[in-house]
This record gives sequence, structure tokens and C-alpha cells, in this order.
Amino acid sequence: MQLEDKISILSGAAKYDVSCASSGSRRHNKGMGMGSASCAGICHSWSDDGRCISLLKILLTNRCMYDCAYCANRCSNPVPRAAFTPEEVVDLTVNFYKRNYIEGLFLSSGVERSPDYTMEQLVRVVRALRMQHEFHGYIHVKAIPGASETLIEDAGRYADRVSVNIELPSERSLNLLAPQKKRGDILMPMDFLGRHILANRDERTRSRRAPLFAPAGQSTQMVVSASPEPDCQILHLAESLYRRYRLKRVYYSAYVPVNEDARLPCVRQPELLREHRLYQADWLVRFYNFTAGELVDEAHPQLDRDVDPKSAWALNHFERFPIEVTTADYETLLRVPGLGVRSARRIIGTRRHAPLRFEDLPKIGVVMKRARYFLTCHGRFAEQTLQSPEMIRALLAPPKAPPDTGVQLSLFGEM
Amino acid sequence: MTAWEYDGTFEGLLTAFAAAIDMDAHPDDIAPEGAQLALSGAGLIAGDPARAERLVSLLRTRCAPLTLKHILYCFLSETSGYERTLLEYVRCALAHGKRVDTFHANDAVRAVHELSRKVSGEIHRLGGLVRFRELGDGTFWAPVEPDHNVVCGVALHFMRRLPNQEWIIYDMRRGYGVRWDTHECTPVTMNEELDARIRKEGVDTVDILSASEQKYQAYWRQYFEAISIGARTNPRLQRRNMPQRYWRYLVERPAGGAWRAGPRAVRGTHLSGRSPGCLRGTRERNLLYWKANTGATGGRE
Ligand code: SF4
Repeated sequence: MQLEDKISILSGAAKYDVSCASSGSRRHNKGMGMGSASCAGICHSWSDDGRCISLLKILLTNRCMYDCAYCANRCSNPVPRAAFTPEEVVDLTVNFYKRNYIEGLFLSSGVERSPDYTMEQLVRVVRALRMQHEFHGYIHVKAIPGASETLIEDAGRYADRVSVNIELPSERSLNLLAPQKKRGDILMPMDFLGRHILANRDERTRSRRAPLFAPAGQSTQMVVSASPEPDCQILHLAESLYRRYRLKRVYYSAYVPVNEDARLPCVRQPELLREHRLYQADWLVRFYNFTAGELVDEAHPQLDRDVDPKSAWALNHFERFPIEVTTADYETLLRVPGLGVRSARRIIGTRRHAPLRFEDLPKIGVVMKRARYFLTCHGRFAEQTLQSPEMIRALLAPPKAPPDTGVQLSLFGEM
Repeated sequence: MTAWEYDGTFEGLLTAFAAAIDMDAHPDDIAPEGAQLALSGAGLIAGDPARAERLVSLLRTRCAPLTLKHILYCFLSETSGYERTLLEYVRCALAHGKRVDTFHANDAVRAVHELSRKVSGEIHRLGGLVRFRELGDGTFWAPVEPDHNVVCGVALHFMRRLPNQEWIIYDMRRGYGVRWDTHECTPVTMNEELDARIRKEGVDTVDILSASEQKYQAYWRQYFEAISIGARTNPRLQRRNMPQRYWRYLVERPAGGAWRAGPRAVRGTHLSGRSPGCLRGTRERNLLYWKANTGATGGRE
């Protein structure tokens, strides 16, 4: 088979994997070899669906012996199969990198022969890149559930990020939809990686010479809307993963209907809006000191689809508003819909040396679209305000049409 | 009504600023020589490296390094008519020192930040969008046509990124580039004949490319096509993230909007519409300023 065809099949098979992030790792080039991983993450192109391309995202093989219901590559599907040799992936990565097409490699794989065999192949690629080619670019590699700890440790030694997919929000769904995967086989490597990463951080603070171990941490991914769990359960799971295993990111991937299967819900379009709201809520949990319990609970098990989670929270806690922008502290400002980390900092910075007026807020980059309903300045609202949460909600909710922006962009918007 | 002219170089601009500050003068316009001045009877300020350097070191002691970077970036933006605002910013910086960059409500500060952000944004963007082509001699060559005069900044990024590779980043619009020979950066100009051929035949068809270059380009295009999720095609979003003016030297062929080469920029012209003369002779010095003001040594770090 021509390499072109392999590229087509094996990147096409990997494209639903959502994590494109290449940020969070700093791998300096000490003058040898090629490349560096930059902290901010760089997009190299945008594909026709508008998503950022930053990594060569590819499967080593789509010959998979498992039969996960939601996956296009499951063994019962009659799709064309292909496999790269480790050398081919290495050569592509190096040559793409030299031409500045990519920031690094995101390598995943179907399970061929056995978890250990597959993991060993993956490790061969990353080892060759680092050791033979002195490649300093970003590498994200998947850990195959059920592979031995020594192999996973090897992966961590060479890669910037290792991830094990949690796949589904509950053990019950996992048993139903991915019967060959065991919850324990997923959590074990996660726990193993979590402890190793922590120990390595520790070592590195004591000695800068200590070798790196997955410096960009570990992440995971779960498919949502393929099983019945509500947002509440999903967010609580994410929160506990962040806490227990110190994950850097949890990625949510709206189920794309690729298979006909009685166990799967019948959906025609992936639930992108749900995915988007989950990311927004996740963002609040990680950076805005919200807890999952504040955003969703038994009474409100699903995130509001009409307004973003922060606005929804504010409207449900309307008694805490308005916030006086000239005196509120940083933490309080962060909870105002429409104010992000940057705006909150700027408000505090600006009012230190000059009295703050409403006109100043847009000037210093505060977007007032949502914030104006929740802020007062010297006791006064920006304009005649609507005093009921219902009216504000009606104004914030979009006219009934789906948003056309992709998830990636809005992730970094201020909330 | 007074208008000042400077020689179009960064030093010239700083000299004019130093003069204005020393004399407590507030010219109504400051513009590079040759630009069409709205006001006639402009006096020319001759560039004085020593005087410019004094202003720089004063700023360096009083302000944060970021302030100097903003000043340099405004200059490199090559926008017309930014000079007076920048002078105001410099005055403000001298008066308030490190705090100046927190004055977000101040008009001059905000304008300078905005301009500077455009420039650093373009540098960051090109850090991703630059495409190197391997030449027959093993050098990797990347043509660009940036809005702002940023090749040096882009080069700085690649000095860290690809230190063991010989490469050239070449500004097709401004007619100069930066060459990295794995030890240091030097400014280069392409020979006229090659320049003309590339303009005529296109970048990827000239016979200067290495034997395997076409192959990897084909692989990349294949990958680019395969990675897009057909059901989610979104050309608007694609164009918003990656404006079409950057597509010419890409290797991949985005589908969002018919891919076409469009008219090529004429060598030596740039967006502000100034005569090319302003720029001539400044590139060596630009490079020096990059090295001095961004902390890069120009050599291996
Ligand atoms: S293990 Fe499951 S999800 Fe992974 S490739 Fe195989 S069938 Fe697909």
C-alpha cells in the first residue's frame, strides 16, 4: 500500500480525536537536535472544518481487535485497514516538523494482537524520535488500557503527554458499549501516570537535571451523548479525575453517529452544543474556582443549553448581584458573567490609579454584552436595568439558531 | 502647525522623539521622509545613533522591557501616522515608568498596545503558517508576505525552534530575508533573476527544490484533506482563523473559498504606501535592534 493511502486511512480514522492542544510543555532545545515545544501552543493550519491543526494526528494502525460500539474502527466494521511501520511515522513526523507543518505528533492506535504489542509499537516510535532524531517537538501518545506498566513508563519518559481514554462516563456504559475494555484497566494506568508525574515534578524541583516524565501531564477523553448519563454525572466525574489523578485536561467528544447499533441512541447530528457547554463548565471548574456542584446538581442535572454556564449560575443566584465594580475583589469579579481573568485583572489594575467609570470598561477591553446586567459602578447600572433574571435570560439566550462557531475558538473566549 | 520628518529608520524615529522631549515640542505630525505629509514645510530630523541610544537606555532603566518592545513593534507595524501617538506613549512611559502599561484607559497607551498586539500577533501567526521548502543544497527556504515588517521576529522564533537546520525566511514584499546558518542570523537579498523566476513560475515549481520536497508536500496535502470532518465543513471559521492573504505560500490547499494565487505583491512595496526608499538601508539595523531589544544574542543560545 502507498504511503499516501495509509495517511488517508489512518488520519481519517484519528480525526474524531478532539485533543489538539500542544500547549503546556516546555522542552527547550539545548542546541542539539531539532525543535522545541512552546508553551503557548501554535496552530499551524486550519482544516476545512475550521479546526486548528497543530499536531500530526494519526493512528499507528486501525486494525483493531476490539468492538467498541461507538467507534468507526471496531473490528466488526468493514472499513479499509492499514498500518504504518514505526519508521514511517518517524519519517513523516520529522519531515513535517522540519518544514514547519506541525508542532509535533499525536499518536494513537487501534489494539492489534494485544495491548502490550500495540503499546510496544507506540513506544518504538516515540523512542526513535527522541533518541535517534533528537526530536524536541511535542509528542502526545495514548496509553493502551491493559498494557504493562513498564511500557507505559517508557511512553511517559519520551512523550510530553500521555493519555488514557476514560471513554464513557460510567462503568455501566463502558460494559455495555465497550465490553472488552475494563474500567480497572483504564484507571490503573491513569493512577500510575498520576503518581509518576507527581514524583517527577518533585524530583525536578530538587534537581533540574532529573529526566522529564510527561511534562505536559496526562489527559483523557470521553464520548458524551452515546450513553444516558446527564451533565451532572459527567462534570462530577471530570472534577474527581482532575483531583484524583491530577489530569491536565478532560476532553469531551460529542458522539458522532458512525455505526448502526441497537445499543446506541439514534442521533443524526453530533450534539455539539452540549459538548460546548461541557467545555465551558469544565473551564469554570479548572480556572474560575467553581465546583461541579455549583453548576449542576440533582435539581438541575443538565447544563442550560440557552445560556453559558456562568450566566446560568448567576441567574440562579441573582441575590448575589449586582457586583460593585469599583470595590469587588478579584474572586468576586471572576464570577460575573462576561468577565474573564484578563478583564478582572485589568479592572483591579486600572482602579488602583484612577477612579473607574463605566466608559472605561470597554476601553480596557471588558466586553459588556453580558457583564452590564450584573455590574454597578458607583452604585449605578450601566443603563436602565432589568431587574429580573427572567428578562435577562431572555436577552442572553440566542435567537433560535445553532451557533456556527467551533468549540475550539470559544474555549478561549472570556466567560 | 509643525511637522517633522525623520529618515525612516528606527534610530531616526527615536532621535526625533528625543528631540521633541528635550525641547518639550509637540509637533502636529511626525512622518518618515518621503511619505506624503499633510503639512508642508516639514523640518527633517537627522538620525543620531548616540542620541537614540541615550533615549533607549533611559527607557530601559525607567521602564519594563515590555515597554521597549511595544515601541519597536509600533515602528515595525509600518502603519502610517502612528508616530505622534507613540511619542505620547514614550512621554507617558518616561513619566510613569513601569506603571505605564497598566494605563489601559489612556488613549495613547491603548493605541500603542493595540498596534503592538497586531505585530506580535502576526509574528505568532507566522510561527505557525510559515512553510519551509527544502532546496537542492539542503537549506530550508520560506517565503512570506507579512502585513508588518516582522521577518526578524519570525526568525527569532525559528532560531529556537530549528537551530540545527539552515534556513532562510524571506519577505517577498519587502525584498529581504533572514538567513540562519546554525550559528547566527544575517540579512539576505535574493538575486534578481531567481526572484523574477519565482514570481513567474511559482514557489513550488522552480527547479531549486530538493528531490524529495514534492513528495512530502503531497503527503501533507493528503493529510490535510483527510483530517477534516466533512460533516462539519466551516469555511467561514477557517477563513477567520487563517485569513486568505496568508494562503499563497501554504503547501496545503484550504477549501474555504476558491484557492487562487491572486496578484503577487510587487517587490519593494508595502502596505503603508511609503516609498521603498524609507526601508532601504534599515534592514541591517533592524536586525541589530532585534538582537539588542529582545534579548536574543543572534547566536546559539
Ligand atoms: S479499542 Fe475500541 S475505540 Fe479503540 S480503535 Fe478499537 S474499537 Fe475503536
